[in-house]
Amino acid sequence: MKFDKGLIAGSSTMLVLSLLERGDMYGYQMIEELARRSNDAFQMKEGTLYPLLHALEKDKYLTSYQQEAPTGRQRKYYRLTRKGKTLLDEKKAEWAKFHHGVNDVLSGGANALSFS
Amino acid sequence: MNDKKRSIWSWLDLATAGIRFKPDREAVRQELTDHLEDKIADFQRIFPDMTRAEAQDRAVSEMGDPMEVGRELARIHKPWLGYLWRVSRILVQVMVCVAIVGVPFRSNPVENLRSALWTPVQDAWERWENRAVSDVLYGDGQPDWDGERIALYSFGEKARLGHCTISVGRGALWQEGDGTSLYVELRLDYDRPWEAGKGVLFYFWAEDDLGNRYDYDRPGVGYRGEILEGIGWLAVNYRVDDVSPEAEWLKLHYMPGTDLDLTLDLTEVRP
Amino acid sequence: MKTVWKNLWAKLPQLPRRWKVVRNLAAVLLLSALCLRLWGWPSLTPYGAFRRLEGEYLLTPSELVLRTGSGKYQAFLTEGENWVSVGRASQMSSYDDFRYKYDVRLHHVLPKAGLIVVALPVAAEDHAMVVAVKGVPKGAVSGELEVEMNKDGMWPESHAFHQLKSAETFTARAEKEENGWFFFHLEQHPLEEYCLLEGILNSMSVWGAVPEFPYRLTLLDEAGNEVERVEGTLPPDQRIQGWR
Repeated sequence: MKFDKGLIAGSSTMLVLSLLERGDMYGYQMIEELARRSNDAFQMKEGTLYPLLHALEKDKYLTSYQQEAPTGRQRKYYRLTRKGKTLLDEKKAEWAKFHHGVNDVLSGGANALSFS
Repeated sequence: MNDKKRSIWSWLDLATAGIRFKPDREAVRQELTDHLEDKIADFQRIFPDMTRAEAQDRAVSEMGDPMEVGRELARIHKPWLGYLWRVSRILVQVMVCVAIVGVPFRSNPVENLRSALWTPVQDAWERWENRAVSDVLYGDGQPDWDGERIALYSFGEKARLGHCTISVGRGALWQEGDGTSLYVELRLDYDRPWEAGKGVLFYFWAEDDLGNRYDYDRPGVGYRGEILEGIGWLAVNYRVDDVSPEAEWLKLHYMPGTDLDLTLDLTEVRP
Repeated sequence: MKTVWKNLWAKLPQLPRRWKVVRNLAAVLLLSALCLRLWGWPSLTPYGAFRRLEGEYLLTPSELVLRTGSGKYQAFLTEGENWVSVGRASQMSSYDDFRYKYDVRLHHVLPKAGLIVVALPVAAEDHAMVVAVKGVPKGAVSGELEVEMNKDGMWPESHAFHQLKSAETFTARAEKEENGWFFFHLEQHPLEEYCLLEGILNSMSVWGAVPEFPYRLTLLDEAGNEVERVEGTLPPDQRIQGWR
């Protein structure tokens, strides 16, 4: 299923950061993992992932290092920094709020606090 | 076979073309190449009857528009810091060469190097200790010292001359042989450290309230002991021989035409 | 050998690029400071070297009034608040010690009390010896200076020495400048003759000040009447040099 681009773009950062929460990964691994976790709902494109990873690394949310991958070759691994963890938590909180807000609107205002 | 390889390369080239600083470009290229390799290997694993060429084609096409990726990457990987780093490295290399060639251009380079490196340390220590030239006041460690100290002073006067602060610290009056000598801690702090020089010490002279002049070309006027030096400062025991015992004050002057007027009150003796 | 170095280098903490730049620039600064210090903070120009000597001897702030010579030998006349100084800078031929690229010295430091008559030890562009005068009585606007020179201070082995006259009087006229100074240009004889003045200037070329020659100064007012007539001798060389 192809999602509205707008929906994905806003949450890419959060998704990428959360992938690294459990452990360090390299680029290709992240795309696989994202697809696996979302049951193929999200297929992030390389053209989106790599610019994002590099931008996050530049802003010190991630660091990187070279290491031998399970395939036997050298790959560039990314790791979440403390600053990145903080950002992730912020994004998760933001998402939760957004998520509840959308649900509330869709449910017809059942949880609304005031009547018009 | 070569065409297919070329299509990978051209995708990679297009995608990294915007990254101007070469080492960065190479690094990103390597990361993307590795990614492509994994992708191709995966296709061959999932579709065993796909040829290598087909797998490559599919992999490249699934990577997306190289121009768009290229634009994004170019935006992130700005070359300026890379260029600056390169320049700084060249500067270091040049400086090291200059130092290696230039340092032996002095007699005793080892000795001078030692003093060049040691002086800032010594300077810091001197300031901290505020040692100045106290040994004269207490007569310590001077082999040719025989005499009796009559009085001790804390003058503490300061004056400005040129780009320099001249200060007078402690003083002592000694009876040596049949004359009295006054010793005063004299210190010069230059605003511009490279101007500091010991030659000035020869041009101070003094006069007292009785009208006596103690000119600098008179023997017995000058300094005694070591000249302490640091970065931009020097300190010495200024000495005036045969000071009249009835003198109440002494004024320190410099070359005629300059206005130095440091008054040393000889009546205020320290207990 | 190279790989050993590389391994050692890799063991040190890897700084991010920004800090590498900072580290490199700091190293460059430190190295240049060290080199400069070892070389004694050399001055770039003769005037710079002279200014530094003035600074060392606390004769600042001062203003440059006149400068003669260019290239290897230069002389300077400067004026401070209450003093006047004359000195020179000579380019040293050997570069063994960078510190002494320019040999600088102060020949005269004179208090501004009364009349000052002082000669610059390096010839001006017109090959004349300049004698500067300040502190004349009010109303004097022009003057005539006569200086009696002799070859006592000269180096006797110079080949021209014996052909020179043993003494000669040189004369010059000058008008008062706006800054209150008079500059008398004592000119050499034309090239065909051996000139005593030329001999004296040459023999002083590296170290010396103008010897203490006697002079007579006649000062005139606007109408041309004599205001004052002074006799004296040029000031002695104080030989103030840098010492580290």
